[in-house]
Amino acid sequence: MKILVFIFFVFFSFTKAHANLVLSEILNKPEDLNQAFLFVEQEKNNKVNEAIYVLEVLKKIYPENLEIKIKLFYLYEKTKNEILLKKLLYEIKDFENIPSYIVNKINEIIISKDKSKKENNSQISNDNSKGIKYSEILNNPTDLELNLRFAKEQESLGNYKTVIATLERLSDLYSENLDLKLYLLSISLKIDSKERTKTIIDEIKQSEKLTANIREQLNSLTQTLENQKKPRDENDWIRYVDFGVNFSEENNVNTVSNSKTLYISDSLSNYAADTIYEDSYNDVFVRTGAFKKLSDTSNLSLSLGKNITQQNRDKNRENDLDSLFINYNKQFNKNYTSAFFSLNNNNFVNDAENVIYNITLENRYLTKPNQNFLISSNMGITDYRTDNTFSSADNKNNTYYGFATGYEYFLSNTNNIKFKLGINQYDAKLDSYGYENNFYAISNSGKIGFLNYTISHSNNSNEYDKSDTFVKSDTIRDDEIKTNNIILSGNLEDLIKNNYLKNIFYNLSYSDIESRSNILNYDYDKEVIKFGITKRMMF
Amino acid sequence: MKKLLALILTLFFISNSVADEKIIGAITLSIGKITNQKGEILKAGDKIFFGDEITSDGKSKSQIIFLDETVLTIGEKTSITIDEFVFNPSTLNLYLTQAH
Repeated sequence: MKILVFIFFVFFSFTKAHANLVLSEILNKPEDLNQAFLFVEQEKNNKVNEAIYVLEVLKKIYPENLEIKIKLFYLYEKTKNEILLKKLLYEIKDFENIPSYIVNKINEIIISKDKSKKENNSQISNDNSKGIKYSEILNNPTDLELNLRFAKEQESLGNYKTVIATLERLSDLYSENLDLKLYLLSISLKIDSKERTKTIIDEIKQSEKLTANIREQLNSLTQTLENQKKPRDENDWIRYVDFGVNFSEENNVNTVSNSKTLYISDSLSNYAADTIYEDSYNDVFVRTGAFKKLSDTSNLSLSLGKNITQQNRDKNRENDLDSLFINYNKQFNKNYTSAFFSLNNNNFVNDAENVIYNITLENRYLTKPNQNFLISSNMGITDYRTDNTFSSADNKNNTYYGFATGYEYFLSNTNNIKFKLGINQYDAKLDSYGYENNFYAISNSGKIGFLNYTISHSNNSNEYDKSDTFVKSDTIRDDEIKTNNIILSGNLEDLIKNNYLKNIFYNLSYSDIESRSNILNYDYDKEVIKFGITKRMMF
Repeated sequence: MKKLLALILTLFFISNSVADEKIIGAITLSIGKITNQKGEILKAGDKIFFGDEITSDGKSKSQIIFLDETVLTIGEKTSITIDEFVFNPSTLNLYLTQAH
């Protein structure tokens, strides 16, 4: 009897508790699934909408819980909610251990529908193999779930343009759906589209569903985007600073004649016993420059530099050089015209300070796509500054002007042959320093792998205006100087892969100079080897 | 003989007109008023045929997806003819768009 009373009491208590469950309690404790399921069982007949609502809330909290979906399925079926039922079946179909009744429903509603689509000739179809077929999107462009899944698939394939197009469409169709806009924002960030991202952020900010947290994140994102460095406008100045050093080694640093003798005031003399032949010197330089594209056919560049040369044994190369260089280029039709201005202020230890001003005008006419005809003219002034040590240095002051013509032939984009010949006239204050220069030069430049090379040969013939009484009064000097050069250059980063080696350039050159003259002072040979490193910093 | 010729000619014109009626894409978004050359109002899911002229009114927007998976977005007050300059039906290639 006691047992009966106990059982009755337990049953009564359970029923009482069950009956007392209310919606607010369930929603306040969503983690208690058993309680929630009891509520659904309790209300599925009387308050079915409340039961559905609870299950829909639980479905969002536990998206992987099949039991919730199954219960929801039966309630949708009961209420004959076909749209939600179909949507739910799409969600369920990928789960395992689905009740056979629901499997049949999936086959009936989803698979047969897809099949009928294929059989319908009026529908667009194509035969994309996996995933959602493109034709499905064309036939169902407004189906939120289908298009979202399509967007996800395309995202995983990296087809971001398709994802953007899909999400923009859905975002227009479902303008109140904040999740869509946030998804679109995430894709826009992925493809680094700054303007599009800003537009999307502005749209999201207008949403009524925007939470304070999201708004804060959007503001932070906007700030980040605004702080990002603006891409360089192609019309902006491109500025740089070069730091570098050149090491040089020369076997005849004092230009000693081959005969080891020289004329001084018509007397043949020997060089001093301590004359240095082989010596090395190095230049340390800093140069800052800028380049600006003025229009599609013109540009301007300029640079300012300081170069200090120090010699190891002797002093004749020691120099302090300040330089300015300006270049303007303009293209019209098949002509490429350039104007150059340079100013070099040399301050030698063993010679007078001098300033050389030079202007060159040059035009390249494109005779064929890979050939240029070149003409140029130049003029300049060399101005020596006299002082107590070099009181007659201004005798060497000169003005010069010249004309040159040449041809450039491009064997490929990186390989060309140039030929140039010209004449220059140097009019000096003292005629014995004035001369006429005729020259020709031929060169080949190219690229082998990572290495740029130039091989050149030049020949200079200098006929002086008047004899130099300080040297040989009965002979007017006449020199012929042949120079052979090999220059190798490149980017150090191409040799050694390292981020610290970016924009570090190297150059190695060898020069062989042979001077033949009717005055043995100027009959000499010399070889020069140079190695230089330049670090360029853009800003 | 005349009847046979008439039949052949008729079949020829019919086949040509059918060939022109190639589906090359679909309207996937239609906001506001989007019409074709016949004055029919187009909505999402409507098919686009080669030669169609699509027009959008003010405050209207549309999106067309072609079979080659290219997307064409049409803004407000725009008229575009889907001719060979826009879409090549033989190669399924989208060319530049001509908006008026």
